[in-house]
Amino acid sequence: MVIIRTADKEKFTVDRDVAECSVLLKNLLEDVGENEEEEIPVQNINSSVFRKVLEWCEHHKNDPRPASDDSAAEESRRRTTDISEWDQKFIAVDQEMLFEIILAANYLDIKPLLDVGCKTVANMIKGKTPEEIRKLFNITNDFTPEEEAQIRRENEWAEDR
Amino acid sequence: MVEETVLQASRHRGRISLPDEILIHVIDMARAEAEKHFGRKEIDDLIKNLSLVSRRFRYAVLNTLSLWTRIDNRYCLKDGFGYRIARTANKPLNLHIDLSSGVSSSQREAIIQHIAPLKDRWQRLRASFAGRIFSVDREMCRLDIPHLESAHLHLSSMHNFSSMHNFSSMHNFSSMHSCHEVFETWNFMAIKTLELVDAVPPAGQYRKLTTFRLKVNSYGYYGLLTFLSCAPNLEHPSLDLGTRSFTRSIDQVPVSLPRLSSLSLSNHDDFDGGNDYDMSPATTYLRLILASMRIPNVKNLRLCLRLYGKFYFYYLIETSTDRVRNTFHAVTGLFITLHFTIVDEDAIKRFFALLPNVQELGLDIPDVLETIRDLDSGLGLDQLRSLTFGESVQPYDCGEENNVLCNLTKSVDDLNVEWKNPVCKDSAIHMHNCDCA
Repeated sequence: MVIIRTADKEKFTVDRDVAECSVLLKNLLEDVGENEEEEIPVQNINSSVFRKVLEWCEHHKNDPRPASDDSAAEESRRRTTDISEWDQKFIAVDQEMLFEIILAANYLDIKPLLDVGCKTVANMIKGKTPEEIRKLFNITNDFTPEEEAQIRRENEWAEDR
Repeated sequence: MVEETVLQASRHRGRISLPDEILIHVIDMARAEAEKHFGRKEIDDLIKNLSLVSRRFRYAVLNTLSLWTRIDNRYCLKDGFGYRIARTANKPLNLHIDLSSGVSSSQREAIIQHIAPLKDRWQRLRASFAGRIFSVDREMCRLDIPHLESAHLHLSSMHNFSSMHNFSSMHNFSSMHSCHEVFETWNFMAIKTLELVDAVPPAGQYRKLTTFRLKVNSYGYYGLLTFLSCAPNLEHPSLDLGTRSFTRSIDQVPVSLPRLSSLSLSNHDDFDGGNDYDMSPATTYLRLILASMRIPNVKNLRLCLRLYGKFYFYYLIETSTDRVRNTFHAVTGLFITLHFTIVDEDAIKRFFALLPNVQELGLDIPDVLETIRDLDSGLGLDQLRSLTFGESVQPYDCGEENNVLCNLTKSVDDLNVEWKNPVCKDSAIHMHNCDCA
């Protein structure tokens, strides 16, 4: 077991197997060795998000770890991996929590969880017009009319249909 | 920096405030999804829609390289080619090139003129050829492409072998998927013979090739074996062979593939073999190829036969020589899909006698339970540990079913049985010394 302390000072006692879903935690744990007393701080993640991340890690602790820095494998993962039913339920959270989970997965270096989060956002974007995307994510259109016209002109090459 | 972005996310409730690198990852995911399920129109729409959301999105789109590295005919035929290539930041290219009959001669010339100078950056190639092969296509086929990792070729010309051969002569293939449609076998063989004179590759030419999937409808197996003989490191070939080829001596091209661990064979005949004792040409074909191969380490064997009639399918792997018979002793995983019913129990027994070490067996054969219920000595698969029945296998009522299974696996101590048929999908059982009856 290892002890992990979140940004809001909450402590979590976690199975080593579960913690090692995170490449960052795995590396930190290797540094501290077998010393189970030592707390591992994760300063950028608060307890509510970390609890959610742990839930994912617990469920996926026996999954094979993705190979690092293999672009072909990564592309294949992107293309072939649909979001599992369990993951779909897991990630059915409000938008703020979704982004927090994505950021936490990025910080902790948990690629499969990052993929689940990003794919969920990608599915939200799919087939939507610029206006619909702005509305969905509450984004302000910061283009001037001239800039917008220029981008439309630049994209004309794709208009052969 | 990460801390800052987290704070940003909580400060601006409901605003998209993911860092640029993650936004790029999201867009890349959307691109992969569009490419997988839809096509180029959806990818173009993605670029256009996302570019117009905001400056940040515009920046992310321009920096999602995978959106730009996919090159197809349109980009080669328009002024925007340079613009697009400039966006790729010298990254490897993913080409989808159509040189089929709908493309005019001047267009194909323009396409190749655009892409040929970038050949050092080709990573994946998907190309279609049809009708006749133009000289400009041949020029493309002969390019040296040092970093190409995979090629998916769709060839429907009678000249296809030459094209495939030239493509295959390139370096660094790790995957190849070649398809072509029907053509006249006799013409093909004549052309092949002429062109092979100066095209036979040296042994080991395709030593980097590890995966080979071929789907053809009629093919000279001599050429195929020649090709395979030059790829000693193949691990996973898959052959899907068609009809109406004629046979030659099986020993002409011995193929040694010692690293081969998995072999998948299927045919796509649509006609009966003729009578009870004949095999269809495509199946004969598969058998001859198998007989030429020395594949002592194949552990997984998949057979998918789509033809009808009373077909003695054990002939597929049965030959009169010990060499070939021994070949299949390494097989521990066997998966058979047949689109017809086997009516001959003896055929089943003879077939499995050639594969005595199978531990994992998948059977997707209509009425297979009826066929095996009367086998008095079981299948003789002493090592069997796992048995899966496919969707086409209809169950009996449970008691009778288990009796059949016991009959099937008389000498097996422990066996996990799984059903894919929706009727009994959840009725996975574990059998121990046939105690389930």
